[in-house]
Amino acid sequence: MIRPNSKVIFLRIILKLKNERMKRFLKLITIVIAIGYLLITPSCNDYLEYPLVSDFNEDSVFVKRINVEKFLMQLYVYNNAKLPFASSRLDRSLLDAATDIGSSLYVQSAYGAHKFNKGTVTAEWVTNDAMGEDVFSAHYKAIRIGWKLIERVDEVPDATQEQKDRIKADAKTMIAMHYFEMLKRFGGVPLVKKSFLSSNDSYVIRSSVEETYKYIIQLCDEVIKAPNFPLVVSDKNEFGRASKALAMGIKSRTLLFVASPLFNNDRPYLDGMGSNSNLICLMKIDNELWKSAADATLEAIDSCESAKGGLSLTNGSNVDMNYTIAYQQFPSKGNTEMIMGFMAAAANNFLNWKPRGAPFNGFSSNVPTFNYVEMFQKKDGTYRDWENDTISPVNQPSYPYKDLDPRFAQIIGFNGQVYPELPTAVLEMHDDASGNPIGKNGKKGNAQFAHYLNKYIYGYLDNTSFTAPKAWKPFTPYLRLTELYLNRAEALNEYMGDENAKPTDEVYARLNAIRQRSGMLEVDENVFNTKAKVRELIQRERAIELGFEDSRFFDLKRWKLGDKFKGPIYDIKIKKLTNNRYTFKKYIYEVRPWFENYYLHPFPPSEVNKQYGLIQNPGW
Amino acid sequence: MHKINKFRSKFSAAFVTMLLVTLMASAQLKTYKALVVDENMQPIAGASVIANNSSLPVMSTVKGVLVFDAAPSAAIQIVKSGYVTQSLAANANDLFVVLRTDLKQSKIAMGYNSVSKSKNTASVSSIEGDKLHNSVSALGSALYGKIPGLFMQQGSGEPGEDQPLYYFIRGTITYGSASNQPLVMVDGFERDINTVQVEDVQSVSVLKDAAATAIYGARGANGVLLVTTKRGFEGPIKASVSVQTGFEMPSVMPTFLSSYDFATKYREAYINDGLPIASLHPRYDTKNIENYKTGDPYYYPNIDWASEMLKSNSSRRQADLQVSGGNSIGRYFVSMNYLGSEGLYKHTKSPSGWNSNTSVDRFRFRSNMDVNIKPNWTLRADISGQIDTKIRPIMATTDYWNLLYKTPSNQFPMIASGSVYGGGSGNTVNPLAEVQYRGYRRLNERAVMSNVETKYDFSELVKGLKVGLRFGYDNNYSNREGWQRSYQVQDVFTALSADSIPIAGSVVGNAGSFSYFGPDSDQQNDRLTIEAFSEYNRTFNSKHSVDAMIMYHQDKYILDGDPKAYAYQFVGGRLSYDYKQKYLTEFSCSYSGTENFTTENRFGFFPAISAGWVLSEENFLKDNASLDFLKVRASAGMVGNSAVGDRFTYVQQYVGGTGWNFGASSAGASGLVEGTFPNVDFSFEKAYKYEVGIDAHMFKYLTAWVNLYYERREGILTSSESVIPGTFGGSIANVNAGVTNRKGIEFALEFNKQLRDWGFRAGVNGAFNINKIVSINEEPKPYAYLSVQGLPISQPFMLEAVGFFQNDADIAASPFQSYGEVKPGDIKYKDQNGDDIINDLDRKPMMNGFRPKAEFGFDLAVRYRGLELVAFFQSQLGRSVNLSSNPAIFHSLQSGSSRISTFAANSWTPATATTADYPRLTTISNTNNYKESTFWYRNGDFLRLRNLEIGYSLPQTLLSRTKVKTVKLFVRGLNLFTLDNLKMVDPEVLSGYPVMKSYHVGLNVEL
Repeated sequence: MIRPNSKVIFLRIILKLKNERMKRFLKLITIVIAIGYLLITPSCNDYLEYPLVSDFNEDSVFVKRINVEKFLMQLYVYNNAKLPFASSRLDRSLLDAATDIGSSLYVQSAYGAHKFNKGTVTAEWVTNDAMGEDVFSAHYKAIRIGWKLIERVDEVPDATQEQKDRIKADAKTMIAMHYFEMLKRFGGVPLVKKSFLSSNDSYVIRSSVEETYKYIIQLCDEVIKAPNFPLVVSDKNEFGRASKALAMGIKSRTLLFVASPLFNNDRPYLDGMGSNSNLICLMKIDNELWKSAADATLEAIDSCESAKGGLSLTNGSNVDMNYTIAYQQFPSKGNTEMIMGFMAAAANNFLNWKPRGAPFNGFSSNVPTFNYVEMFQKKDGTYRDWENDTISPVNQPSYPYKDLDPRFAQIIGFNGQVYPELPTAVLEMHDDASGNPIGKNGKKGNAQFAHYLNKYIYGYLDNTSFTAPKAWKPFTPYLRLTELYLNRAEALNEYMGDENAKPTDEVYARLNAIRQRSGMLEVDENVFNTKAKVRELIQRERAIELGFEDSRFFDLKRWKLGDKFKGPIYDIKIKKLTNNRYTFKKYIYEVRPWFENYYLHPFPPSEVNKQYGLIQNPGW
Repeated sequence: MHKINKFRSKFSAAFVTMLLVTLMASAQLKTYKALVVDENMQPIAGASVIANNSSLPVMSTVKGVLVFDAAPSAAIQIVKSGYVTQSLAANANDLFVVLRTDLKQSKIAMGYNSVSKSKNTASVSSIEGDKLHNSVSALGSALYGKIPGLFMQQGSGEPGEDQPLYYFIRGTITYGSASNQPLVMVDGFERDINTVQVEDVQSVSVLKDAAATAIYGARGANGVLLVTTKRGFEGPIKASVSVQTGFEMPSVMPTFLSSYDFATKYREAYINDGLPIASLHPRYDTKNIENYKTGDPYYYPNIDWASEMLKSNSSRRQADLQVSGGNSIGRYFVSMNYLGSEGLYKHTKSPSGWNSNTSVDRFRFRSNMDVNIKPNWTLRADISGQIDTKIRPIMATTDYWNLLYKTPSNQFPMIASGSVYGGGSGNTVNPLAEVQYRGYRRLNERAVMSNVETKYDFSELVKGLKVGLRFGYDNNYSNREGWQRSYQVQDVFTALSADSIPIAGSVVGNAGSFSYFGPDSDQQNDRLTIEAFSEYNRTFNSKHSVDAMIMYHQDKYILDGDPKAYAYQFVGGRLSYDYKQKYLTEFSCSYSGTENFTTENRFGFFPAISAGWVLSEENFLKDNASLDFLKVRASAGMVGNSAVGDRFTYVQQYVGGTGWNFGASSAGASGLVEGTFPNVDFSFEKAYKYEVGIDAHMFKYLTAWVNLYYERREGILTSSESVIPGTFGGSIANVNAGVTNRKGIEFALEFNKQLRDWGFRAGVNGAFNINKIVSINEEPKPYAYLSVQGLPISQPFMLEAVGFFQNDADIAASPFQSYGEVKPGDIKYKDQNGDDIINDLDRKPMMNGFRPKAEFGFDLAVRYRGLELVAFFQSQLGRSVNLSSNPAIFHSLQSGSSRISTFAANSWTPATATTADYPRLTTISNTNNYKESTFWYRNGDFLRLRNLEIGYSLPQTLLSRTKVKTVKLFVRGLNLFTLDNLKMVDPEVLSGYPVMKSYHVGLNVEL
């Protein structure tokens, strides 16, 4: 028996339908399909499409040079080396306010330096908070931008080869700079050597100190040899942009840092890392690193001072202003020694830097300690005796400060100081005979110490207005030629074997050059006649020359001089006697806590907890 | 009683005279007269009679009167389509017949169709419009606790802003920035529920499970709220006019210490803070403090700003008109509504005529038309709209209420002199000047909603086939304008002169002249919807019923100022089949997409299947007298939620960066920065829903149903950055990796019994659900209890307060509290991790979230003839409130508060150390005491009498000679009382304009 299959059955049913109904049925189907087609077809294709508004993506960046240059701008945003202001890094504190030479305004307990000085630094805060010292992930944001530029700038059709070469070298220098900034904070860090295409690639473990510093040197060396990369930036619209000189400086800094005892050591500053101790030191002592540092620094100095580099120590007509010009002015104002600086200070932040009290009415967010005052020599190279009380002659409020290093007045505000631009206002830091504050202009108030910080405001105070700055635009220093001089002197001095040997002439020559630029006499080679004595001199000289430029905080650590952070921190009590004489009496203000784990920063715990191989530094 | 008997006798007399003739004509027959009403005692027209199995040619009138003749011994049944047929007892002269709604026939609104209740296999709860009280300005406010599983929270009590804050179906299930809000559809188009007038509502349905919502595809996972408005029916013109007026007052108000008590406490706190007594204001001298009792109220005032600036009650008025009717060709329902309502503020009338008191004037209209163009071709055209005008003081409402609570009572008079207002040091804002002098804002809001549907019945070609099109176009617009000026304040008492006379400070501020601002804040939104559909509905051999529908939908919502319109598109359908209405099954699905996702992930397929078994149709139950109906049902399916929070995160954009500047210029150069790293799999959330339920009707007056459900939500957006290394170097978009689940139970039980003169209704409904975060990307935590994984969504974390520090030794012996220096009387916290430091690592999950775990509604109604009493209670359980959300009341002397509320009256002092229930008062900022802790969290459970109503309808006999059908008078109270654990604030609205309780009197006349 033959069974009809389903198709046949269906056909029979259809044929059974009356012809007329069939027609109308088909007509209906046509209408339905037509309506459906009209509605669905034109809309389905584009109805849900992404609207083409501001659809600017990575590919759109790399089709025009102007876009790439805007992207390059963002590479510089993550730099820390700019004057702090409210609600940013350390909330107005300078990092040197967290060392023996400084403090932050104590009535503002939120200022970041207090957390170091009170020993309340937490791992959550210091590298994970926008108001902490340094945001760990921000470095990798800059590094990612850098690699993207390097990887893709060649595609840009309207950029010349010169422009492309320079952008690549720019990016590489900044990557090196970020790794150096991380090296001095953390030791060895994860090395990211490209821009990741997927977040899955970013599980990178920490590299050792040795791998990290060698990678920085490698990047610097590549840049130093790179074509179409200027030795120094000469176009005044480009100050603050990277250059070969900056790369050489980073190389000098890196080698000096690694040669110093914190890293150049066969045992770590704290036990507990076991076989991972190479993440926080070299696990060997290699004296030749001093030699490498000295050589790299000499190359940097010579290049900067070559005819093409054109840099030299600042040598203006007024020797008492050379230092001020050198740390904050633009080359057009006579600054010949700035290798790298950042132009990121907003004028209205001037308030944070002026002295407290009338007529200045500033916040004086950062103040120098008396420990700092004591470091300054007299012009003749000898030290003033502060241990015994000083009594001034009649009507000489600034008696003990006279004859000090000319840089003193440019860095520190003191009793009786008259600002050159502001002859009507005299700083009065003294109390009356029985210890009650009586000073008027810029009186002590809550300044905490008997001195103010003049750095960054010196030369800007205005006779006509105490509130509006006179075009206050300090070119915040990141690297100056004098630092290279100091690096060279230190590396040469340290390379010598014998602690009692006399350093070479060049060591003295480098120090003397800096001193003479600011009107100081030469170093007395008969007094500072051994490696050890010269080491101490260089350390003081660095504190003065690079004071409040984020240098001492890391210098003390690399020298393993952690105890210096403790103090004791001194201040001086100034009294105005009824006979118009002034007495100056030194006293211990405080002793600060210091913990060995402070030698290196902690990584953010939230980052460590992600468990991708970011081993936390000891003690945190 | 006498009166009622009189009515009854009149009623009878009328019939007797009317029927005399008939009686004589057929003496062997008996004349019956009956009044036919429904369960709500509303007359039923068109009911007919079957006597001994043959239909009689009579029908009940619009007043429900049914008169017929039949043999005295005949078996008589009263029949009306949609109602259960009722058999009559013989031998009565005037009969009272209550017809119960037939569940098998009554329809329930679903997504794009309606289904008879008996055949429904999905999880849907609904309420008819006539069960909603109408003394509310927003439809949402009439729904609290009415529909099991629809969780809502009351918002502000401000006129015009008093709609509920949210509508969550079964609570929350998604977290982050994703939305838990259901889709709200009015007459099939997505619209704001609060644009619908309560009187216009036919029904509100809540679609809960996958079977009910699969048609909505990627938008259905949070459930759907359907509002259906009334339409016209064939018949004579019907008109209804209602007017009502009411007055409102805050349900609860905080209280504060008088100036004298405040000053005494303030002085104590100041001294305890160790502050120098020399710098204390002279008004707090021991001697001067006494002046608050007897002294000059100009210098030593005692102003409770809330009572000075607020009236004891405010008024509202409402009027409604509805007209409906039609014939076989056209039918119409037209309504108009006016609402006027004022706020509580006093002293708002300016001498120059303007009034800054908050107010709303709202006019609404609706016109729903049905036209039969041809017998098989229908057209529906609806238009509705509203015009709102709101007046507000210049200051934002919440700020103003905070100001009333925060402004010191003792430091300055209301007016210093002339038009200079009182102020104090740091107080340049004066609550009186803000409403009396400063000016007002006017908010103008307009909305128009329109839709058209045309449907063609192709039954003559294919029996049961219909094809149609629908269009909807809505537009709303709002803007703001106003007049404002500034005012002057003066501190009349800055210090005491040598001879003890208060010295006034200088006048602060400028008395500016009025300036006009606006119209600004313009906002205009449009939505255009287009749908095409085809329906097929047929029963074969009276056994096999097939109901099928397929449709196409697209809509686009354009928000003013947002170039990226929201667009949705789907093709969906359903196919249901049942055998003899006993075995039911349905499959529904949607292929649905939204504009937000990648091309690959834009569309999803969302299927659901459900089945039901009507046991009461089986032979073994069919004849059970007590069980009228019993159905078990089950459903399973997957639905999506496209309101994930982020938009277009699969696209990586480069955007303007912070910028940097080189060179001497300090003008920042713009930068470009890499935008968020894309989520290439960006897609919707998927909800897997499973549900079983039982529907039952017993003893003819008991209705019960219960649902049990489980849902697993996958693909919730969760942070990537918390798990991806910082070495990546970029910000990374959220990924669809979150998972949650929830389970719950809902039930309702309703008892409904009608006797001749009496009617009773009692109902209870409840919903309970718990949710849990199964998976979330969070930073690894040092202690397991810090993780939110495994906890309910929105679980609060807080410190555990264990009392107050008793003395310095107590502080020394306790773990170090890292939130600032502590003194005796400060809150002491428990060290949860044993590290001897109290910090954020000691915050543990404690108490409940703000949203309830359970909600109950209790409904009671009693009728005696025309008199009725209705009460409705709502209760929410399993929730906590944080008193810190209103620091103006609870954080005395902190957070800008210059007062001490009676909540802090028993604050800690060495003398009250053992009995104090509030930490020590301090005049300086104290961080330690105001951290989130168990001290500030309270149990937020409450039971509220939402509605209490007494209504009286004039007897029919009285109206029988007039054209008036019904006249009803009512008195109604809303939110009359609340049982809760809080003092001074409402458990739902803790700050800002408070929840109002209100009384209303109204009259409704139907023609």
